[in-house]
Amino acid sequence: MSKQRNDQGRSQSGPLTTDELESLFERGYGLSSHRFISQAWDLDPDEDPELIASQIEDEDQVAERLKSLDTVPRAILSQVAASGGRMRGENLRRDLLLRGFGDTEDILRDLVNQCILVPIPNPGESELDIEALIDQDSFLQHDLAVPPLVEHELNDEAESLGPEAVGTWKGSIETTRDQDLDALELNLLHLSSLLQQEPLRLNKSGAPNRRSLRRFARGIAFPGDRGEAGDELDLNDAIQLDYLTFLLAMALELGFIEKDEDETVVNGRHEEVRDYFCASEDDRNRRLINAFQNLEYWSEVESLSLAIAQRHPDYEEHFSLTEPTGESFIGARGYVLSVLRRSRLKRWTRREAIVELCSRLDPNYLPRTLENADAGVEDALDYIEAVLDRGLVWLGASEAGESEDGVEALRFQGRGAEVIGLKADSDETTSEHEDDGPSPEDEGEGCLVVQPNYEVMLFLDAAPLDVIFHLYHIGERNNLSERVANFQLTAESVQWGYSHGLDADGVIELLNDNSHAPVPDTVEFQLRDWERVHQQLKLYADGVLLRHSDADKLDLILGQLEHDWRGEDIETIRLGPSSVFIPEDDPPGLERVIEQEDALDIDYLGEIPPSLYFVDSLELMADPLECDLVTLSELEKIADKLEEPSSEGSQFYKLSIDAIKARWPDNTLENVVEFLDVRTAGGIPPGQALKLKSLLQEPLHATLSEDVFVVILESKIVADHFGRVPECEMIIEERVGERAFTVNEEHREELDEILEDLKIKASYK
Amino acid sequence: MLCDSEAILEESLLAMDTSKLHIQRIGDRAVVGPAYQLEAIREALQERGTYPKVIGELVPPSVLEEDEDEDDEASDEEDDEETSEQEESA
Repeated sequence: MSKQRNDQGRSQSGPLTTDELESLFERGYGLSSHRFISQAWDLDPDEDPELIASQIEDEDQVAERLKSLDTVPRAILSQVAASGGRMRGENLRRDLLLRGFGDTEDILRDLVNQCILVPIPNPGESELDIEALIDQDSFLQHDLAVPPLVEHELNDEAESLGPEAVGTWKGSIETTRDQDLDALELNLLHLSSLLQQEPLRLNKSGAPNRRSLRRFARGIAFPGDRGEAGDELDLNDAIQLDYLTFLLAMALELGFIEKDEDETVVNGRHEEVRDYFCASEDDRNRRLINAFQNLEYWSEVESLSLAIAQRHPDYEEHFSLTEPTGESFIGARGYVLSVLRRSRLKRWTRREAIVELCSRLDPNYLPRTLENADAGVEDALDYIEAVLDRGLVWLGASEAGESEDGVEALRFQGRGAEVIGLKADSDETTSEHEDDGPSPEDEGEGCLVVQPNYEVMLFLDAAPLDVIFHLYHIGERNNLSERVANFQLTAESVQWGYSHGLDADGVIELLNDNSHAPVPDTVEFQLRDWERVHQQLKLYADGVLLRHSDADKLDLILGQLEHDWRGEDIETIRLGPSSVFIPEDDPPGLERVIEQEDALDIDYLGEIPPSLYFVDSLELMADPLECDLVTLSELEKIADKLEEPSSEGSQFYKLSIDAIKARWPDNTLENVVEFLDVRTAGGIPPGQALKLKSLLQEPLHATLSEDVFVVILESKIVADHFGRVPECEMIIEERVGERAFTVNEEHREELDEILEDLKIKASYK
Repeated sequence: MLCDSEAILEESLLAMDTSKLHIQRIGDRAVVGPAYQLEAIREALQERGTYPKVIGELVPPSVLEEDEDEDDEASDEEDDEETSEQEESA
């Protein structure tokens, strides 16, 4: 009965029980394994299976063995114990790698040799030889189980025994660099806010023009600094320029900035910046890591080369926003991030162990990816170090430290761990959140002070990101130092914010909600006054201009439309007696009115109907209500308006040759003909085209011959022969067309003789 | 573009270079033009420190007419060699 149970239980779960071991001695293990296990537990090689089984259940035996273990083997056994007492060897090795223990294959082999970690035959496998498994290095392809007492003893130790607790280094770790994603976001916000107001120029190489870049870069806080670069900024410093390139590349990936079509300037994009900075932290984390993984215009490999001066990188190419130097690493970067994501590196872990983890977890993938990328990185370890030592440092996701004996360690905590996507450990997350500073309810309260001189002091550590974002909207950040940013509210900056969707009430509420003290009355008054000034000028982005020469008729049509709009909030703006603006791109009922009134429908994004009429030599007539705005405004540039006989409904223009030449200095004739041809009903009349050609280029010439008559032959062939007759050549004045020649009257007799001679019968008209 | 008063409209038009814009003044307070020119008008006003209220969605730049030949005056000098930077810092 028990044997049957154990057979079924083989390779399932739980520690190696005595029943299971006895059954394995009967079926599963070979004689050599029997002897091997027996000797490993200090018994005679051919000892009775029951005695061997009882030995591994002996408390004193187990306690003695555990006592003699070093900390790392003990941690390994505790990992097996925490997993129920049994783990697949490969999985155990992988989990230990992910926990930052480095490669533990040798230690595992030693534990198997001691038979405290016992290989279990795979299902269907018999006569397993454990020694052969060890010799062939194939013990990791089997389940490895610990005795029940080991499982019981070490079950609770796994979580407390990380690499930091097993003597990998001496003493405690001192932090040498904090994770600082907030600083990255502040830099991105600063950069993209300024780029919304002024473009960044690029050189032909695609690298930022340094004079242009300098204007944006002064306010950037470089990693590790608590204040803005300011006077310390040196764009000849490759590291500073590299970090700025990284920021620009991230901003491009995040959609905060965009290059123009010619790739000569970079502009900020308002909507995308707002969407990001007003999003939840989880959403921002996701977007950040995606952008980092997909970085196209920055390479961590070149960057690290710059930092340690291994070799001089292709200077302009690395800093170029048009050369995708990072694109070939997208796959490799994704691999390293995916390994880190699966790891458990929230606690300090030797940097070397993390490099080892990334190289060993899937040892073939990264070298193959790098080879396919053909990016000049031959050693996968070099690439992993570039991500750890440069990419994640610039990103601000990792924290670095050093032990007393100089061991370098890394960890991913708090937001850094969340950005990478490390799995949350319940005990860690609880304790971390306790240290996370202000709770969401508290966050933002009292993070700024509004002073009567329109300066806002913002305490960054307490400020929610959306508050910082909105302050960038309405103020100019003129200083950043020791985590305090100063924003100056000016007429221009506040109105810029108003023109991008804010209003005075919202701004005052935002400031009051986040300020230590109420917004001063003078500031509130000024904010409202700036809004009044701002609203003095309104730009309507889309709508319909309804025009009719008869003001009463226009009122009638408008009345019909408003009747159609009952219940809808549609505004109409009367611009003059014959013009009404409706700020809706497709007001209901308009199509019916157009049909009913047989009205002219001009769509400025479609084809413009002809509206000009030539009435005399270079004179045109246009109906201002019928003519589109583009045609009318161009016409006013190239023609003089004739007061006589112009009237309200018909305006007359005389084309001015000088004005046409001024409007189109190059290809003047082609441009004016093209302009007039499509806008004139039936196209430009030929006579007018000839006149323009004559006046704009050079006068056309004509020769008038007197005293000539025309000889017309019956066909081209005949005419060709006739023209080549020597006597004819002497008297022909000019060939006209295919069949005719002109001959001067004085050669009349000679011609008659030639015709007679050639037997050509002449008839006269 | 709609202004509160005729004076503001006059002032705004003076602030902009309208020679490349296809706009028409209608009445005392308004100027009308094709929607695709709005961004250019807004930029021109912003350059002069005027930040108008924009109502509605801006027409994307992709529909801009081809004939708006750009002057390449913006293509300032490239980064010079080290000297220019040094000169500037000096």
